[in-house]
Amino acid sequence: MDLGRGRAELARSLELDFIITVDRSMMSNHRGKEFLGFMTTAPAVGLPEVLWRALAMPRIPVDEHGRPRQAPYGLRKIEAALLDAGFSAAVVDPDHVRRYVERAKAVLIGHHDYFAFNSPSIEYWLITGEEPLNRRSFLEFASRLVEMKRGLNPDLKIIVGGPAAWQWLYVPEYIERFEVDTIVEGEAEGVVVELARRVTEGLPLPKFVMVGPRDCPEMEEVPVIRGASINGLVEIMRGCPRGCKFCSVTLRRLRHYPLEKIEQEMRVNASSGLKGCVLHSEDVLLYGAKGIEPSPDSVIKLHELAKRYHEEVVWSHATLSSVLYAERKYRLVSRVAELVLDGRQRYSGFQTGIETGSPRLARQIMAGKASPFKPEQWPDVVEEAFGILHDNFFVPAATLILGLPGETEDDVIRTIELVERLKDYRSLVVPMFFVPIGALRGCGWFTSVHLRRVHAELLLVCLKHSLFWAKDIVSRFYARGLSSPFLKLTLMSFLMSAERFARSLTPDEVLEHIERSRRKLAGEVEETSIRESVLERLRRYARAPKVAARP
Amino acid sequence: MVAEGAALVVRGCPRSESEIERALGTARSIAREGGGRLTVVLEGASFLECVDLIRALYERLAEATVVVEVGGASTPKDGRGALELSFNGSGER
Repeated sequence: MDLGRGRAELARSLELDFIITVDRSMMSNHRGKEFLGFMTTAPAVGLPEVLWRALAMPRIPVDEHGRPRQAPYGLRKIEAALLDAGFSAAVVDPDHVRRYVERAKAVLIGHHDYFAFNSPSIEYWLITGEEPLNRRSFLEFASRLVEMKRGLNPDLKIIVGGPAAWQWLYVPEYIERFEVDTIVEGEAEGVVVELARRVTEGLPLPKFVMVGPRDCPEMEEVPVIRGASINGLVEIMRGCPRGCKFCSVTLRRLRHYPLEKIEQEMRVNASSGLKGCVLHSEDVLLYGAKGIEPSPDSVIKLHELAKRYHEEVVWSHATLSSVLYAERKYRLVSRVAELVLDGRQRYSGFQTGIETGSPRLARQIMAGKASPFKPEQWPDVVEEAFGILHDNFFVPAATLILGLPGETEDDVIRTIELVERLKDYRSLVVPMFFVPIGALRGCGWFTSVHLRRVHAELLLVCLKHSLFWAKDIVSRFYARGLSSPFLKLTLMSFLMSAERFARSLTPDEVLEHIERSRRKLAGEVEETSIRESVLERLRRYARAPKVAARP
Repeated sequence: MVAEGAALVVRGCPRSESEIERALGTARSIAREGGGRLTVVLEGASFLECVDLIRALYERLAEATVVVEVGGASTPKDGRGALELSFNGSGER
């Protein structure tokens, strides 16, 4: 930046005490397509990184003060909490942080996967042997920030939080390297105000704050966002009653936002010009529910409200047992689809968890997930729910967990059988590896994942299923909204090449590849050798003539 | 909320599993008495040196609100005084 431009920018800057920000992998609207955001959780594969970045994490428009027009919802909540408490705070785009650093008292950062320890980043990391983009993007950003701090304002405090705050405890060397003053784990709307007061008064900060269930705010106490959230995301409830053993959300009390509060946030998003809305919850069909008994009126009113403000409404998450139960008892999925898919919108989508096709394992680790059905019925619940969703143009992106403690070969075979039963239903199925949290200590997490041949078979079944339906989804729905024909072409070419590549793979090759990646992560293999082998094969298959699909 | 609840002053650094278990057990009972809140004050050791204990608090005391301060960044406010545990930091990992 030249000095003249710097002065002009400074003159247009606000006087901020608190800068709220994050790196580009999160400060992006991912071209208005939430699922393109998942590309940031992988390294660039099959495409040049510059193109991968352009597709997945483009810059977001900012105002004259460098404040993004849209920002991650969690950062907006922190901004609102500080503004409501009378502090001078704003979410600032990472490219514009410098102009505020000299004067500010603290930088607050929130992230959902700082170091790529969450799924699916960690899977992509293991499979490719290369650092996912979100991790690299954050490390680049944090390095720039700490340089700015040292050069311009050594007294600047750095506070980190968000759903991935816990990750700092497993890479403590980064706490020191990036001069982090405080780590906040848990719902932070309350504690951030006290931390800000301490910063302002020059009092020492605690190094770590973990907000337990009793200190989680009631929904009435949670502030309303002041600026638009990425892709119009609004939270409708917090917590989950299902009690799955692998999920921390169940530790949080189940609380529902009143409709009036949801409407206030929708109004903020709509007034900024956002045409879409993401309803965020662990299970949207349980909005207003008592336990797991849905409240159809609440769900319908919620969607009517959302459609008043937005052309497109999608869900963040829903549970497949809720889909089946709510449809059978109340025709709720069909009624929501009739309401939402009104001509302005042609499909909807959300994330969901299958996790396993084994009733035995389902009973052991997620007995409540099938409820009110029995864990023994879980595979049938999944298939019937997928059928309902397919018929109603809802596209589920479903996860599986591989390598859970106590998993047997028979459990994995049952999961393969279930995925094969889902072949006629428009969906994505993404396998994830169980990584015990203790394995993240030190640098050897990748040695904790023990994949067998049957896991590799499952990986291939999922890959083929997802690539088949991804082409359908992109050509039928997704690419219609993408403005650039070049991007549409790139996306479809990539998917077709990837599908040909997947068809050529055998389970043994998959295992061999993952073993090579693991050796690379352990520093036992030259970095370039794996990359070359994968890229060479990708290039070869991209050049190869099309082959007929296997029956 | 910060620095409310009862306090546990940890002098030195618990390193071995048995030392961490002892600190965790004490922390748990203090948190229970403190209504689900606990302030851990680290004295004579840095946060990084005590990170094994902090991870144990995070992984196994999820039901509590825990504030970790280094060198007594603030004083617990409920007037109950603080319980102290000392470690020489020589325990095996």
